[in-house]
Amino acid sequence: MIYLQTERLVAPKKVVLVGNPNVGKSAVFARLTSRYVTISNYPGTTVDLFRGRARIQGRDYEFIDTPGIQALHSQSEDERVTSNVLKSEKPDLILQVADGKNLRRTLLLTAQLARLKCPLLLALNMKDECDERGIQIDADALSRRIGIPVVQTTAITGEGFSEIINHLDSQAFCSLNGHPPSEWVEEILHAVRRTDEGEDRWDRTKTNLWSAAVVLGALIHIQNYVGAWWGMPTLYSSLEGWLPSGEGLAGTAREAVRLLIAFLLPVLLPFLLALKANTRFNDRFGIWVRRFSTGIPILAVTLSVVYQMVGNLGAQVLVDLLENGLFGGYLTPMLRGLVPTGLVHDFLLGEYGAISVGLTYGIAIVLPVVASFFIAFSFLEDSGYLPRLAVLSDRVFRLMGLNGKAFLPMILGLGCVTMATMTTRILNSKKERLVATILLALGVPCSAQLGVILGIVTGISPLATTVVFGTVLLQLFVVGLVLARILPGQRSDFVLEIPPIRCPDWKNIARKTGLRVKWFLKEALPLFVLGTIILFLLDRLSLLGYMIAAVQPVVTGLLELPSKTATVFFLGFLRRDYGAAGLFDMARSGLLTTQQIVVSLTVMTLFVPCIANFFMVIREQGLRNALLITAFVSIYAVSVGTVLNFLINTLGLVL
Amino acid sequence: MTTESGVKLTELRPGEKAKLLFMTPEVELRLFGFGLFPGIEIEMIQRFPSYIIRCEQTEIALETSVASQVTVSKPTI
Repeated sequence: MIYLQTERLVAPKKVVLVGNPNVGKSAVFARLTSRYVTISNYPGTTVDLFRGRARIQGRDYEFIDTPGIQALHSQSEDERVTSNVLKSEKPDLILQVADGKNLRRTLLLTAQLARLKCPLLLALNMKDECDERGIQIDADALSRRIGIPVVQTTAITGEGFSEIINHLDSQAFCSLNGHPPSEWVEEILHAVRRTDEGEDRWDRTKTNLWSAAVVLGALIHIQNYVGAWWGMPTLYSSLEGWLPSGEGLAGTAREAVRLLIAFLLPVLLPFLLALKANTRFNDRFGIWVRRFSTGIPILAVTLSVVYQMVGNLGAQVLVDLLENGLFGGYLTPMLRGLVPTGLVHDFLLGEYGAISVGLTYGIAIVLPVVASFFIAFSFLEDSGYLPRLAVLSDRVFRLMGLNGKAFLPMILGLGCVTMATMTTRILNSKKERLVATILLALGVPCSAQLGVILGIVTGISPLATTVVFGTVLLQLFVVGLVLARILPGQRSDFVLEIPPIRCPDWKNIARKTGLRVKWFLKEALPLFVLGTIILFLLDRLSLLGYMIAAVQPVVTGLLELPSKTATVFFLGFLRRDYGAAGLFDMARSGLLTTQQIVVSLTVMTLFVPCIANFFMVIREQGLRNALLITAFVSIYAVSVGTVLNFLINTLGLVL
Repeated sequence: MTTESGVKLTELRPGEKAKLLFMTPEVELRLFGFGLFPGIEIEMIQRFPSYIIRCEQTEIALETSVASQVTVSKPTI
């Protein structure tokens, strides 16, 4: 009894996980604490501290996951987070997580950590990849050399974790001082065989076959696209007669099958199989995607597959299924029967009804779109594709006072602008962080919004789509160009580590998507309902009419949009995707002409960020900057919309 | 006879290997963290749109402004 009580009084042992970026600290953390943290295949996934407690073999531990660092003398904001925690937290143990493939680099950080005078444990992670590449490390010899326990682990499978647990109470200090001499590193690193050496002919043939299959798939995909555009017969159209016709749910299923066969299978299937089967294919593919000549076509195919997945599968097929099937077919009629007409009915099911608008928009329109986007996006995150795009885009970002590294927060902004604003911490200079934050607030649509936009534009002409996205991209570029020149400060040079191309683990994708969907339901859905209730109250109190009248000159005068669009813009401030869902609904009901769709979508995309992002900008940049950014963005969005509308009118552009 | 001569990193062609000799103090600290320190062997992978070099099993993308501050020794025959 006494033993148990004293044990409870003992403070948990504090273990801080430290390591180079993208070595799997979060994966190790997740396994030790059974807490899921987002894991991806690019440096900079973790930009803040995560704490988790666990009881292991009767003792309490507090684990702290940190952003990856290159070295202790750190440069960027996220790295500083880690340096600070090591100084302030006084850990009982530092667990250095390392990529076993890069032993020299690992030991450089080990030598720096040794100076902190704290017990150290070294986990050489990614043992699976070391084995694949024929890298063998003599962990015992290394342990003898540097005086601390060394374990080899594979965080995603759990290999080696019992050893980590055995050493959690280690009191050993590291004896490494400065650069390790290369002779003994060679000694420890025996049997290194690089994958491109000593491969046999069959390996090469296999790789070539896979490459051919993937290229063929991509060509079929492109033909489907271009063919549909020019009215050529395609696999897609030849399926028309072959698939049974149907209405309602059968029609939805038919549409899904057609999409799957014609668009997703030819590209995705050979690609996935190739990724899974062959490391050498991955290496080769990794090179293709970051060359200009092959990288741009691959980018185009990737974008169009994502577009098919989100715009067609998500925004058409799944939305149809949920909205007309679930809500239109069952829920709403059922509730209509239950609730008599009157105030309650209007509150729940009226023009601004919490269920008929709030929940329907949230669950039936936005959720399927976000979910399908999250799947595609998680896949891209885990494959290692994104950092390679940073290489491709460095030259463009350079003109905007940024460098290719800024591509990561920008593309993450397509997931969630709020989270991406936090990710700007990976950028090295203050100026870069500010520019990236402004661009995110201005013109990067978040997943839900983008999905809904894709849903709307699939219904209108390719030219209109091009005008919307072209205008938004052009604005991002122009604003970046100007900001680069007027803001004080420096851009930093581009140095970025590129992780290997990996076949994404479907379990991680499922878990990540699940987590994000849960987050959406928890964070966004209440706002949808809340926004609708506010609108309902304003409408009842006859204030809505005044508000719409107040912005009338701008909305109907300058932008030439129907006055109802004003309410949609208001919703857009609560959640941008909610506003987009409103436009989606208006567009489908035929309330908007193509020109109005184009103008309203452009303004909505450029318009102020949602409330959540506004608070994040305050946190990262301070209130003054946040207000300035918001003011600038609103004025700019309306101006661009006005100019665009004027141009379409004057040029007589038929969209 | 094999001699070594110091050239700028930017002069390596794709596929060429070289030993890292030294770099200017401006970029030194940043590159050390990536495991790029004197004596290590690197391989040039790609030159455009950015320089990409491999050191151990890590691929690192560098801008011209950084790459031109690194000197490597290229074995010449």
